[in-house]
Amino acid sequence: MSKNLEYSSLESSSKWRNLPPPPGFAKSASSKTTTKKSAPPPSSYDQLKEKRAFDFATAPAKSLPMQAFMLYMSGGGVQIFSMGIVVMLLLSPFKNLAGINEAFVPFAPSTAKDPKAFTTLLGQKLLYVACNALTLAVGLWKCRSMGLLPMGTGDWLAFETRGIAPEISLF
Amino acid sequence: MFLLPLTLLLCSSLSWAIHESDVGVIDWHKRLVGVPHAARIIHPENSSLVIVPTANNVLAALNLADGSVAWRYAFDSTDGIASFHVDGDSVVTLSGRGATNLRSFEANTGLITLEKRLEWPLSTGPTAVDVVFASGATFVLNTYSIARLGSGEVEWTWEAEDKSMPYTRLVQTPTGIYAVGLSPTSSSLYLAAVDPVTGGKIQIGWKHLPESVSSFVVAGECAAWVDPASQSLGFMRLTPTLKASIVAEKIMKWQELVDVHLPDLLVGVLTSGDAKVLHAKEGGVLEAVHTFPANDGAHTLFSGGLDNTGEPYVVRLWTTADNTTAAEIFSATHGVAKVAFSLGHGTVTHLAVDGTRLVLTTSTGAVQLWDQNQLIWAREESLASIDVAAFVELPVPERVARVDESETFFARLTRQIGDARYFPEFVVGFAQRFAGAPPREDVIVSANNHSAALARDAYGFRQVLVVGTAHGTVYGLDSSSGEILWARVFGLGWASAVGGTVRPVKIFLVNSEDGADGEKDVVIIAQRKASNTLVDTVIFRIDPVTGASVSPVEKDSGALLEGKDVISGPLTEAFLLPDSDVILLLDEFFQVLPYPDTEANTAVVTRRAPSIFMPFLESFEEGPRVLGHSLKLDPELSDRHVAFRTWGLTLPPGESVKKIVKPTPRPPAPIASLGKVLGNRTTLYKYLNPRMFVVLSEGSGEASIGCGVYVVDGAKGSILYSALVPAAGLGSACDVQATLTENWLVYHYYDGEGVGPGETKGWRVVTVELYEGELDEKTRSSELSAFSLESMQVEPLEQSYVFAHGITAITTTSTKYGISSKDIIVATQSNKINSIPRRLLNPRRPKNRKPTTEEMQEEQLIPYDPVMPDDPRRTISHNYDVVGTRQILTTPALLESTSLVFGYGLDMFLTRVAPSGTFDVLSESFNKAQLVLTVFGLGMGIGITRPMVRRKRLRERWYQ
Repeated sequence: MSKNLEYSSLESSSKWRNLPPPPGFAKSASSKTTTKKSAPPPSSYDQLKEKRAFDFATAPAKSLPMQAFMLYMSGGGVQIFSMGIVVMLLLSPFKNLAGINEAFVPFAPSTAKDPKAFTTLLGQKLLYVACNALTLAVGLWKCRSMGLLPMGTGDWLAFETRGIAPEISLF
Repeated sequence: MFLLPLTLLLCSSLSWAIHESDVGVIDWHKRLVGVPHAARIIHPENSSLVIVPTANNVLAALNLADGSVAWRYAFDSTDGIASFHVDGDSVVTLSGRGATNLRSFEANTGLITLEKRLEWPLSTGPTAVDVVFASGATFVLNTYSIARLGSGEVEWTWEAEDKSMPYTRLVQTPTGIYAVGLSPTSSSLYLAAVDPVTGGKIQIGWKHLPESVSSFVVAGECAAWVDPASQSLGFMRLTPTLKASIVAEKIMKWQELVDVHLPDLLVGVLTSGDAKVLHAKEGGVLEAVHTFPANDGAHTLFSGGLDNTGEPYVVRLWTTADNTTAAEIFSATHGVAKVAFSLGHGTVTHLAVDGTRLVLTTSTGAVQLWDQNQLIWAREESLASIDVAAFVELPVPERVARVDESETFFARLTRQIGDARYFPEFVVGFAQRFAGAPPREDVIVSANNHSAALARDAYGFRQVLVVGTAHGTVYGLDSSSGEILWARVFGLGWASAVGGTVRPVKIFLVNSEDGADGEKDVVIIAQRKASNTLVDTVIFRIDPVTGASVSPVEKDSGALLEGKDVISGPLTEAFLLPDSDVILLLDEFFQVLPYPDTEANTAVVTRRAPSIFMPFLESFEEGPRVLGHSLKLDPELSDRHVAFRTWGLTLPPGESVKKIVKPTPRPPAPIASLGKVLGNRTTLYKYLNPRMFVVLSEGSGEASIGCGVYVVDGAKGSILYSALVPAAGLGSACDVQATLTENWLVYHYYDGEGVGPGETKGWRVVTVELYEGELDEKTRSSELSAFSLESMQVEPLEQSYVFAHGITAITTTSTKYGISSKDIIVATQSNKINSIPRRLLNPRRPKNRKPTTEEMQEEQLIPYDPVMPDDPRRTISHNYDVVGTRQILTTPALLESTSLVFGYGLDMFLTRVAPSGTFDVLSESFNKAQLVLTVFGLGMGIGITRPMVRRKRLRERWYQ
């Protein structure tokens, strides 16, 4: 019993198409208002962008408490949930850093010659790197507490080898 | 104490009690009694039993019908059987020092009806005992005294006043009880007549006999003897007055008299070779009732017995010139029966008769029942005195055995086409295995399955157990069932002309000479003591599957096993050179003889001589000492390498070496881990000195200072660990049992000193682990030279526990790669084989505190508890009565998880254990069908949904 409702036909090929619009209706009303609004001066726009760039750079750090809570909730065992979170914590910094230049393009100041260059917004980018490093550190700390990091000698014991003693004693 | 339940709970997850369904499948137990010293057939109600006291100090009753053990009683080693006497429904033994312990057994069941310690006046000379039964009472003679026992109590004791007259035999006649003794020095016959009711002396007397009287026998009312000088038979009647005169029979030439343990029959042998059965009639008359004619044979034996109707039989048995065993059986009513049969190897040492059935004990330790000339049953009792034992893996079946690496392409193609004919068989087998249907025996070798041909199983549970016994026999046993695959008797070589014994000393496995991979030969090194006191060292090289001699090659494997004389003199020691097939034999002059004695092997010895050290026991006047030896070649002394002493182990004064305990397993297994990782990821590095061995010492003298346990470096003799534990009691011997594997020493002793409050007497087990130092400290001990300074840096961790049982043997399990944890296997004095889990013996169990989370999770430490609970689930021998285990041998199966455990001594017991669980085998309850169905269902699901999904996606594209 389903019927296809073809609204498209209403728009383009309707016979009412050529009717004048009702009084007071302007087809391009919105565009007119935007054009009416005066654009803010580029300098204040850049300031805003810079601020946004700072916000973006500190975003990983802001989400840390949430992630820490998730880590706490996921427990210390090696399970699918804790592993998923840990993998996320470990991978996202690298993913973020790989796309760092693209991520900051929208915030590049209008004066920037090349918005994709690393030197544009250098301070924010360095902050971004630091915040990601913080996330990574939390991930590694979690790995360590789960016993997944080879920190002690015990983790390298299996790779140790010994030669043969120079003397043998027969029994 | 609240920790105890926790401990039990924690242990329960790892301790695997044996399942009842596994009993008799994974294990087997052979009840043995030992080689009989004598045999007597009795007929209690509804049964016929052979009563045998044996070399293993066991009194046993064998069912005459099938040779099975009806009952047995193992006497303590300090309580040796002095004599045994049968009377209708009871068997009486006298045992112990001075034969003071009397036990009476019910013949049918073996239950002890009376156990009594008889107090005798001390005798200076040898003790002679005899027992007679009369009118419900038991009369016991002990050298100078007679006691009457009725209803469990000593009713009276009579004691001779003159302690110079030892009596040896007790005679009961209707008139009285007589003690009779023949003085070996003064050629006098001592007589005493005692009233059987009151114990009063009736008469004491002595008769002067000619000198050199021998073979003195008492039968009926007569005491009889033979005087070899005049070849005459003398006898006298026993009367209460002791006044009867001596009668001498001088017509025939008598040689000796033989006691056949019948009430009134004895056998007299004439110098002509004839033998007369003499009947001691009432009134003190000897009458010849039968004459065994002279024969050509050697080894003549006489025996007598009553059949179940009470009819006496006398048998004469001898070996004829063509090596068959012949016997003549005489009875008054049935006349004479003649039997002849071939014994195989050995000679008859003991004989018992029941009608026409003969029970024989042979010099090779077999007990056999022959009826006429038919062998009804045989027991190989020499297996109760195993000297050396070794497991040998069965060779890989030929068709998968090996691929020649240099084979050409066409050769490989033809071989593979040829192998293709096994393909259908393989497919069927695969399908069967996949469906979970039998054949299960192929995989899980069962002890009940005797029919399967001798083939290697997938898991290596089936191996050949080669054992050499003190009676000069060697057997190949099927480790899956305990069946004897082959039995061989050591030949005497040149000494067969004079006679002698061969006793195996060492057993080694070497790769077989024809080079097929994995095939091993068994090399048994034996000492042959010829009757003319010459001692030789002989090597037997055997194929473990067939028992045939490999070198020298033999044609007939039914004959005696002939070896190769390598040293004409005693052997000092023999060692297998690691990573080679060279055996080093040390003769009495410490010259090193490589076996096989080839140029190449001599070169190997020359090359490796500087690195070889040999610690072993040498006996000196003041006792044995442990001495270390090196090898050197001095052309002026000998053309062979000679071992010379480099060090001697000096023990504190008053201590002497008792035993050397070699590290297990032999040959050394690979070491899976170089250290112990703690909960916090730090490492304690194991002290893995491959030259370590254990020396057990005991304090000598009255003021016993205790028993020493020393771990010694074999190259330079330095003591790496030592402990002094108390002896079992003042003046008693040390009974320390120890085992050493890798860096782990476990020893067990009896602490009889704990008498104060808070102390306890009892058995202790001590676990010691040796480490290279503190946490994360390493010296790389396993590759260190013995002479480096760091090799002395040892850090022991030890803990001691109160143990519930005394033990007779201890060892560790061994697995193929050493990854599975090692359990301790002990044979307890309660005749069980127990395994103690590694976790319980971890010396890092925290004392007086709870283990931390890390320790609990990572190391699985459990709190220390001074008492090791006696958990019956740790018994791996089910409810078998595994008596007298002297030694436990463990060997890896092909599965890493599993170790075979073989205990021997009196009984033989074999089982398999998995200390860390059978992690490499699917459990029997694993639902294969479910797995298959699930996989199949998932596959079906994919097959059905895939076209559906594809169609849907296509339609989506169209309408996008």
